[in-house]
Amino acid sequence: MPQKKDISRRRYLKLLVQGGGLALALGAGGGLTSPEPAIVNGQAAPFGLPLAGAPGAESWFVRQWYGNTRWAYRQRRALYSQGQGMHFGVDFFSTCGTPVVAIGDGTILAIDGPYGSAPHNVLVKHANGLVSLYGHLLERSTLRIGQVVKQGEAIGKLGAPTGADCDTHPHVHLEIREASLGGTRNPVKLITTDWANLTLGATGEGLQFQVDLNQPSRWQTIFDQPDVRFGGPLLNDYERSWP
Amino acid sequence: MELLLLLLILTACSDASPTAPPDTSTTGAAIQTTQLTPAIPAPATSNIAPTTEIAATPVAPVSSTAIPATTAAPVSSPIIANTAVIATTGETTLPPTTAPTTTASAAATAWKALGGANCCQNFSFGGDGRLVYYDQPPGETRLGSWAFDLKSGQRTFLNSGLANYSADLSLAAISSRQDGNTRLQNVPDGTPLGTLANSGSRTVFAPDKKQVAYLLRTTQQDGPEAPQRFSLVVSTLDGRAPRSVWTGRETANLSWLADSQHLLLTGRDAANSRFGLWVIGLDGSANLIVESKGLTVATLSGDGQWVAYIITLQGAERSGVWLAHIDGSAALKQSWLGGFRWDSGHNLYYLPVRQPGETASSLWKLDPVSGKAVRLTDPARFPLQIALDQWEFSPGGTAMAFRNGVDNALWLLTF
Repeated sequence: MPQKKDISRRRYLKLLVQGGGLALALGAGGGLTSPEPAIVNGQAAPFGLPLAGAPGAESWFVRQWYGNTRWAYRQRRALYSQGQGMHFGVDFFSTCGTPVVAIGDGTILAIDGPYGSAPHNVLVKHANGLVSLYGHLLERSTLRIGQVVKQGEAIGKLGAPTGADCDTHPHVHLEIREASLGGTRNPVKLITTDWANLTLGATGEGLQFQVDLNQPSRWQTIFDQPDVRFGGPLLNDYERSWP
Repeated sequence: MELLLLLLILTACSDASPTAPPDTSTTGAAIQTTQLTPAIPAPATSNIAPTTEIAATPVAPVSSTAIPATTAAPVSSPIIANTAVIATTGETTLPPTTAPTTTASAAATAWKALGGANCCQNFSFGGDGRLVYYDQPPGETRLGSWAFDLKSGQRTFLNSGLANYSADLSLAAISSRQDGNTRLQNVPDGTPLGTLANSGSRTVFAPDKKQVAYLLRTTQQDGPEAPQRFSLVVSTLDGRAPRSVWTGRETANLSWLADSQHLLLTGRDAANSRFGLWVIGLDGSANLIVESKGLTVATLSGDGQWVAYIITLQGAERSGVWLAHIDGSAALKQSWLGGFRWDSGHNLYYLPVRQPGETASSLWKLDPVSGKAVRLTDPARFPLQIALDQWEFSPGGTAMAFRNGVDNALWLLTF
């Protein structure tokens, strides 16, 4: 068992004892953040969010999770065919023009490169070897390749896949790619935040997971989603599924 | 003694997977349950994002170890210790955005786990109060849809698919994207009624059980990220005469009104020029009862007289949760933001998003007629953390099934 978990358990027990009495620890943050955040170069959940300020109905919220979402299943042979049928990022909805900020310190690796998420995208390379991608930006970023950015620094403006008219689904599509850019990892496990609160209690195709009726318990939480290898076989071409 | 205490706590914390007592049920008995006394949560951290150490903490949500009854819940819960006193009775004319510091009106009496992590997909309550879900329960060889009677503990196999049901669970619509059809059938004897060539779209029974409706996604001529085009189709149960009664874009949240002659949905018209909440008549009428481009979630009350909906990204004044009559009149923005459900009447249950410093949610019930809201759970006793907005109320409001964010298992909260 990782040392990190052992340390956490000791602290947790200490908290319980300090709380007095015999308590069944049902809660205390479990489920709010990743129960097992990914460790990158010894640092757990090293990144922040791509939008500043508090989530809210008038500001921003999460509308699609990473992985085996219902929307991704519907688009598995089209929009996400190169991503093994998975939604290989997290979608944060907001109004067009909202500043998108870097999730961690790094350098600009690419601007409007061939990495999808039209009409504009930015890639930031981080010291831990991972690369963050910010997609569907409203306009070409004014930054330049090689420029150093700090966590929380604006790297572009939020846009929509449909273009500058921002007619449908204005959002930033956040991906966290491996250094090779050939695969993605689940941002939910790499960002420490209160994920469950970021949907504002709403639901939708992007916030629920497709059920493989032959393996109904697989990939049904926001934390338990597969890494994606671009160009690999579909992971969700289920024989029987719901919905 | 201290050693014993630590041992007991270690036992409670050492099993990361939810456990349940051995299945002692007889044939046809209930899915496994673990009865718990209300738990005292561990002290809350001081901000939303726990430290890395806390985030990595293995949480043992359910233990098979017998847990003695806890002492009284803390008078001042650390979860809400920093909130101002807003109400002392738990009953207000408008729900506060933050929970009262008192524990009055904690109407919930018990909760228990039903099955293990990730079990029981697509759970919902039938009109007869049975809980329906898709699973292969312990000790069963069949994977499929089951109906679970909360009172008797009897479990009944419905079919091998995952279906939408009529309110009384007598009819099933089993959709399959693979073969592109939806099969309609009687549940008790499995008699087929008809087949709909509807691409496996979610199919909803009218209250009179004589018709079904579904949203058929049409050709995506504009690309997958462009506004999706839909046709609202209504059919008799034999599937022989499906007819389109409306076409639009970005359409969702389909439900029948009580008269079986009108349907409620959200979306845009075919011209992509009018957006919001629509009531569509089988006679071809289409009324935009709430106009907003940011309206994407809406649900109809059980009695069909009220509608709750969410508007997003339309400015501070318009964005939020709203409640209105079914004709769109008397729309009132709520002071809370969060998920909501209706019971079989017109009571609205809602779970406000947590405020800074809170680690669990409170459940509220709102009577839209009187405008009074009552808090049903005290987060100090029932630290609700619901995953993926998966929670459903029984028809009489006596129980709530929910996906627990701690262990991702199905839980039942009773009142």
